[in-house]
Amino acid sequence: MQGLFRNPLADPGLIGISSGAALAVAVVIVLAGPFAGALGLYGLSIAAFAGGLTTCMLIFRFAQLTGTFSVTYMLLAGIAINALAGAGVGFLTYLSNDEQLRSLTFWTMGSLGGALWLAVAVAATVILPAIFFLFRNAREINILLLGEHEARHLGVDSQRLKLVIIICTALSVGAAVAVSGIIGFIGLVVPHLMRLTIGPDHRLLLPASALFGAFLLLVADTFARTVVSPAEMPVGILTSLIGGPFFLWLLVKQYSRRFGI
Amino acid sequence: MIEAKNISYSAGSTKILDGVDVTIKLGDITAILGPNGAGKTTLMKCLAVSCQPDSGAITLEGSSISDYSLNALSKKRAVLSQSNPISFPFTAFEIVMMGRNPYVIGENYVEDVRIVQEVLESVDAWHLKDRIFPTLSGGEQQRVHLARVLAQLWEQESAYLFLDEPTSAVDLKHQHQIFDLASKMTRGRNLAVCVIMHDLNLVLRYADHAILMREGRVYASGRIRDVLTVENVMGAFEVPPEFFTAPKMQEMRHGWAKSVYPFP
Repeated sequence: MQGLFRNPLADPGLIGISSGAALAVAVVIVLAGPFAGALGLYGLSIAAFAGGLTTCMLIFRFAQLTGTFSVTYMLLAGIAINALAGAGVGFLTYLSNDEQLRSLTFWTMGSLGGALWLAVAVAATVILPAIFFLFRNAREINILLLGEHEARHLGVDSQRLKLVIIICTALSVGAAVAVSGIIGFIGLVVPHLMRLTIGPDHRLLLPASALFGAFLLLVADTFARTVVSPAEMPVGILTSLIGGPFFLWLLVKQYSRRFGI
Repeated sequence: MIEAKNISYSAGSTKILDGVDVTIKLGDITAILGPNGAGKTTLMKCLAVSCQPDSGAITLEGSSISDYSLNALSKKRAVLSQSNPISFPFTAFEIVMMGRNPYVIGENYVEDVRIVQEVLESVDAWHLKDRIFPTLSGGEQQRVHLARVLAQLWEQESAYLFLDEPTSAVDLKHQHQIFDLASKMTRGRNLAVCVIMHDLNLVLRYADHAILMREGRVYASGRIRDVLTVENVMGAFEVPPEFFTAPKMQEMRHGWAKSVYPFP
């Protein structure tokens, strides 16, 4: 994501991709009860994917309209889309019955608690190929950071590459969100930590971020389960609790210096 | 040779290029000159195939530019844009290495490293190779980007180098170093260098041809001494120039070279 928008502040949650996916899943949970059963776990994945893809495309078009991939514009568009999706989810919550409400609430808080091995396997069949595909394009993603025109000058088909990134991102975010709900800030924080340690080269950065992201999430999850034991705190609360201050720090440190606002 | 015939380009309702005919020849340094907003950068983008003119035809060595694949083009021409901000912490070395991307098939890493070293040395930036790009000064960043563009065409014959204000932030010594290098490359390797710049003194000293633009049209073009006349500079820039002949410049390759000092 950060590579696509050539911007260190991009993150699936921040610019509304996760919430777009969440809205689509909420629609399925609340409105498509009988169908959801038939489609099973793939149904949620497909819904989350479609929601993620739509918002991703939407934001990308917005960013393109301005000509530059301006941070300000992108964040504002993200806020608007988050608000819209939030309203949609809110409305569906209002419509839902008790059981649906419970699964929705837990789901939007984000938790690994509902993850069964079957669900994980389903998500893996989507996420692993997506990551692999991105990894194969890692060298070209590096070059995309020079800018779209520059990349074309260097023989990279940036239109095709952007499409690959959008689809792969929407696929993996969709699948992940379908299983775990929205778990904030991992997508923002981990690439930064990795960039600080191993540098910005996507050939290393992509696999390292995927592995370390999973590791960090497991640590957070273990912590979330034990700290209020025997009760279980949804891990999304914890990651947002840590990610929020980290993001603010990032904002002060980078945003003001590099983008001169 | 790149030939553009009667090309026009509009952004919204504003006409940026209006029926422009130009030719970029191999073995020459061609300067595109003109006041701000004259369409210099757009013209260069069209010639370098970064954007498509609304009408008119552009040919590269006789065939239409649409016949070339992205990869074939990337070995034929390189482009240095006016500004290239990068907010990710790549080192200067990594940035320049990206210039070798067109040759990724049949890649020879040792060879690529040698070329990266040569181009960085040629712009006097080898000592910056391990520095993080966003921490470099404006002029240093410009030289590293120039090195990347050079790496793309290093050891290529009959290729086209497009530079949009390559020395706008570069100090005096390195300005001359860069243009000396450009002169050597155009002659030694039969390259065409097409450069946008505002420093008429540098243009007079190094360029062979000039295309003087004004309001989206070619105001004058041809050999540098025929283009940069008092009337043309006055007409295009609205500044009366004064030409001096510095004694030392008599021996320079034009034999006639002069210096321009615009009147206040």
